Amino acid sequence: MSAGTVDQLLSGVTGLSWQSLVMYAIAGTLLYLAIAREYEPLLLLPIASGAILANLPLSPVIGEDGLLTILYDAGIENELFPLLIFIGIGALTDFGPLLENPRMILLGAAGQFGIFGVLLLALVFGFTRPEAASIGIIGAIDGPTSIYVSGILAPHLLGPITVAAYSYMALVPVIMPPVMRALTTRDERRIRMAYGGRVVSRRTRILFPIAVTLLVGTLVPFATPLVGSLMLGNLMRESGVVERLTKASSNELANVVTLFLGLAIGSTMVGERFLQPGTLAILGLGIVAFALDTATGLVFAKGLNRLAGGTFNPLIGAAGISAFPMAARVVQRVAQEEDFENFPLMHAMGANAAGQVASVVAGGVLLALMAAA
Amino acid sequence: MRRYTVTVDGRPFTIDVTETAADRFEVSVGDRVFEARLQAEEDLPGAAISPEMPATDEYRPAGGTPRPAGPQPSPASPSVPQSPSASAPHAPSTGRTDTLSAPMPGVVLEVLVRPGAVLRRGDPILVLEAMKMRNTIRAPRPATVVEVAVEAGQPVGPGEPMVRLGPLPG
Repeated sequence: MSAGTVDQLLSGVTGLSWQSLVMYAIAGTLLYLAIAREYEPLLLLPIASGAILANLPLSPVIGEDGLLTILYDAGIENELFPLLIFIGIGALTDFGPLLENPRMILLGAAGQFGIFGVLLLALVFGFTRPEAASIGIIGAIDGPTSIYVSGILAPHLLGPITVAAYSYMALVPVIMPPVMRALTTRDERRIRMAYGGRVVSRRTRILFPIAVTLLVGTLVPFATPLVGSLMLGNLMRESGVVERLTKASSNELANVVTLFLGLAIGSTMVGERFLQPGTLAILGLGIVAFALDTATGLVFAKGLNRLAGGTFNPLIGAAGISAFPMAARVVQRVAQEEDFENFPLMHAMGANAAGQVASVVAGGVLLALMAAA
Repeated sequence: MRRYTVTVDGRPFTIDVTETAADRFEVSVGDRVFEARLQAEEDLPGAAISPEMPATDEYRPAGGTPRPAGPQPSPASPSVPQSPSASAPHAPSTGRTDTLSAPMPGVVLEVLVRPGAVLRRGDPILVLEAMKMRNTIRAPRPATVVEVAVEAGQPVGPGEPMVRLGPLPG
């Protein structure tokens, strides 16, 4: 047996690089978080598996006709997968609490400030404008929106941005409460709000997704794919006549696409590209974006409380982000720490649903800004 | 809106009552707002009402919680089922029976008490699932469970009575 043959047979072993070893460790951490801690397991498990497969030496799943490359080309490069996921999210989202309490849309808008704050911060750190915008979108705390926007503006940063977006989504119950306690007083957290109990008619529920699509699509054409698919799912849900399609979108379609999306995102986490100082900066800026969203939402809600003469619980401002329904649940939990008879959950759900729509709009606004720049 | 100024155990309360529906009222005491549901309205001839109405008295939200601790009557507790206009003027001296109603729409997942159970303030009474979240409904005051009006699996609307609480035994 010649030395050449041995080299050939051992090419896998000799092809191991320190980068791939580090990536195994990172993927292992993500797997641990997904399996042992159940942090967004539906996404982190496929992402971590994709990352391991992509970092194996001479990995045949990457490259022409490689499994992961096919998935990437089929649905990430052309932005198809995040949009299909949005149909499922729309089919799962109940906008009722928002329709009962339409002023909550203001909080949804306030919860997007982190996106633009961190965009500016990322520019200071030396990222290019499209990169900075993609990092800022982590502040939407919305996986599909982050993938969609960064896929268009900065595809080379998809891996770290997606990992940041989904990790921080899983960390909503950890990151938000300290910010919420720091920015509100005990008395503010104890404010009880009457539950309006306004009944939203079926007609309103059906007209809402149509109206939002027409309005947002006209005002922010760049947001049309995102808001269009989100609201398509919601229209199917509220119409009540296509239950099979609603179920298929929120279960089968969303599940299959989630698997493909996770694997394809994982495949972008190739060691040589992922292990750069920029990745750490992205993870750091992402958490700033999140904390900033929470803080601006709270401050805005404190202003509303001032206007409402002390009858508006400012904690609800923290729910104006996209992580639905986790953010609203965290609001409920923090409020109950102070007063077990306080139930701001439905109000927080309204703000949370508003945050879902607002983050999609913010994604479109970012794309429009970058296209104009 | 009607404003009542009442004194309970020497502490003054300003109660604003807004009628939101024929049997529903929004009651605000200090800086807290409750929803109250009218279940019965009776004119009790024995109750002498002699209001002193300083109508110009400016309303100021109180800083702390105006709820008196213990089983004293508190006319503005969220669990008071009667119209506050009926219950506010006459303060019963021996315990009271009132209804704990659903703070928001949801489904009762578990009922943790039986009639006759003696509760301390904060004891869990039932678990209400709302928006896929489990919420424990706890006793707002020390009380005895008089009646459980809901069962596990039952959907409830906001303000729907769930449990009736009576005075402590003895």
